[in-house]
Amino acid sequence: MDVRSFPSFNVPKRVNIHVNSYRKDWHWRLLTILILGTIGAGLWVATSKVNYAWRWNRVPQYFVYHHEFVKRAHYDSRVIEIEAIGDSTTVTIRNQFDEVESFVIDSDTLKVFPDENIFAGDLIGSTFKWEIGPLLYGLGVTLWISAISSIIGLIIGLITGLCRLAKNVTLRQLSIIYIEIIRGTPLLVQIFIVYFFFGTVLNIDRMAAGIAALSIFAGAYVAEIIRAGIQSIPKGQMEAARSLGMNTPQAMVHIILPQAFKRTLPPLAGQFISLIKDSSLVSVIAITDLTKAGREVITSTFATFEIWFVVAFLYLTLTSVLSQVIAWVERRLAVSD
Amino acid sequence: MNKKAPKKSLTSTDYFIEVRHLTKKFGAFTALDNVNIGVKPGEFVSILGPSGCGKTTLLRVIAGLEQQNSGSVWIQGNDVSREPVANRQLGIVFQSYALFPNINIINNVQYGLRQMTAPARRERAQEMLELVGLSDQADKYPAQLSGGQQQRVALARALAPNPSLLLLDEPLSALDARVRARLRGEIRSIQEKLGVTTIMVTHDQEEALTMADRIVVMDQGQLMQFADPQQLYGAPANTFVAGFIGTMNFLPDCRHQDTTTVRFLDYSLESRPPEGFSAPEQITTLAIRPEHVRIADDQDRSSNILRARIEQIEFRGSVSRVMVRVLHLAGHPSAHQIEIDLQPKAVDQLQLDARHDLDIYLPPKHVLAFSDSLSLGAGQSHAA
Repeated sequence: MDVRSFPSFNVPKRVNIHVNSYRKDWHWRLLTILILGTIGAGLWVATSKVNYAWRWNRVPQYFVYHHEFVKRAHYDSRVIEIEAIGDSTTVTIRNQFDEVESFVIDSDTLKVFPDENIFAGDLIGSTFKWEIGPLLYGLGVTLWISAISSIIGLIIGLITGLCRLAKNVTLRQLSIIYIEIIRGTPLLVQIFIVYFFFGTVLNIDRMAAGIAALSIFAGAYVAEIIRAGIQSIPKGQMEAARSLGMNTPQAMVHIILPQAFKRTLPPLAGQFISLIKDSSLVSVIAITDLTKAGREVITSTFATFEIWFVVAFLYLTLTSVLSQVIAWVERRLAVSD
Repeated sequence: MNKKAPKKSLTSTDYFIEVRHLTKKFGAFTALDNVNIGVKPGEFVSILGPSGCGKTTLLRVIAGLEQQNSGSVWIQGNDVSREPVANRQLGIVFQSYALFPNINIINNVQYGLRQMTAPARRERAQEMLELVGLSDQADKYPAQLSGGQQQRVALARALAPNPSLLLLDEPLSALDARVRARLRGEIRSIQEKLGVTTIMVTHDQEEALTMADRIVVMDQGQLMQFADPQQLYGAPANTFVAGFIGTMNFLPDCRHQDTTTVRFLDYSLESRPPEGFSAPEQITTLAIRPEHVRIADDQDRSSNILRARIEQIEFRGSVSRVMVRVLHLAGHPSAHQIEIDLQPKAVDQLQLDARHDLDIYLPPKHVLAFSDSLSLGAGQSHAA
């Protein structure tokens, strides 16, 4: 953020105490690298012992690949015109029923000559198109499921957290029961119950069931985070707002929740990062997320080691990006501190 | 003061705010025990007492932030006992200021003005910030201001909606001594300029004595005395007030001797005619301020003279405090000490030092008399 554009904001100086210590503790940093190097070398030796053939070159095609669309003659025909425009070529043929057909192909794949007679099924040429592979598709599904579940989980958690603090006993008890049930049972079991029981009873598809299970799961944890956040705001804030003519809900929305949100951002970030990782469990109900896509790729490549490393790296990328975004939001909100 | 001739009989409607028979319990703990107070329009009243005496609870019940177990709160002749705080038209300055940290100063100040149009709100908020001398800080956030500045913002925010009653809960306790001294004067002058009736809770007697028109002294949930600062100092209603305000020498375990004198150790002492109770038989304690005790000279009559031995002399700048131990007539020391404030010059002239024996004179008009039963009977004093 450009500090000069907000002259009155006194942005707290971030004092980096490590700046001067780089020179002083270089040997410890070297030791870190040595330890990591030793672990890496050990793994390399171990894998070379099991005679595993690493085939990293097989991996990229499962992100994106060049899909070939082959163009063949449908009937016996005669080529009447070949017109090349740049990289693509239009081949016009007249078939046995005296109908004219046109095919657009890439110029370098041209397999016919002008006035050639060709038979049904003969190759004319082909076009290529970039398509996303199963890993990228799975990554997208994981991102989508996590994002939707986070938003719904946040809404459920906010409502439950407020109910948890309500004066009304019923609201309080219901929210406690919900939180205790969800926190006391494994997510994997919850996903099965939501999919097999509620999915059957309410007739919802597997994607909806997966998102519902993750949202309900996240909501219980978010509720506790929100409750703690609200309770951490000094009582005087609510009293001050009420003494200035606000009723309790208004004071909650305008004064308490904005402050509580700022305080709960770090634990919420942790919760959403967990949610991204937990979303891998929905692969058990046959949703093609990143984990299931990885399993599918392994069945066709047998590159087990490579694919699981890649899948782990992709999850790590998602979670790192999220934590960076949250850190940025935190810095923006820190202006009033 | 007890049973003082009423200058003007105030009916309940003459009070701007009145609390009647207020009792508040937290479980088994009684925070307020049948408290009655009436505050006149435009008056600055301070509630003073030690920690846990119920003073903040009293303020919170008046504000409507706490619900009393019994009794009622009246503002301008209306019973507001069951009204929520938003309906009582109060400005409150909290001990922690309770500024909203997520919005800037000007928005903090105009927070209570939502029924006005946006330009009018801003204008009013600016006006209030000018009143407290912070108009140049409008766009900052609370955390960027010093404690004293935050305090003034809290005051501006409380005053912006033009409240009929201003409540201050230990407003200066978090500030350092110099800022506190300056803000005392500022708050008082703003209060006088606006003429807003004000109730301030404090545990600092200097703050109460210098700022308030009248002071409510409380202890253990009970009203001890409700009077102006001079009366509290010069004519405390009971031993608690006498000991709490300023320094006081107590001569306990006195026995009634005759209509005008009591017996203390083997001395016979005369006191100011006791107020609040008529029978001198009840007198059990005498008291006198250190500045009223004199070193006896030859002109003093023999009555109200105690034999004493100097134990310690403390130089305190403008005065020297001499600690003496009262001696029995026979000359052996008693269990009682008396503090005497003397001019440092007088100490030099009289060549006083420790272990020195001397006679001290307690002028009868400054000797206050108390009975044990008094400390409970002080609750009616506001009716005067």
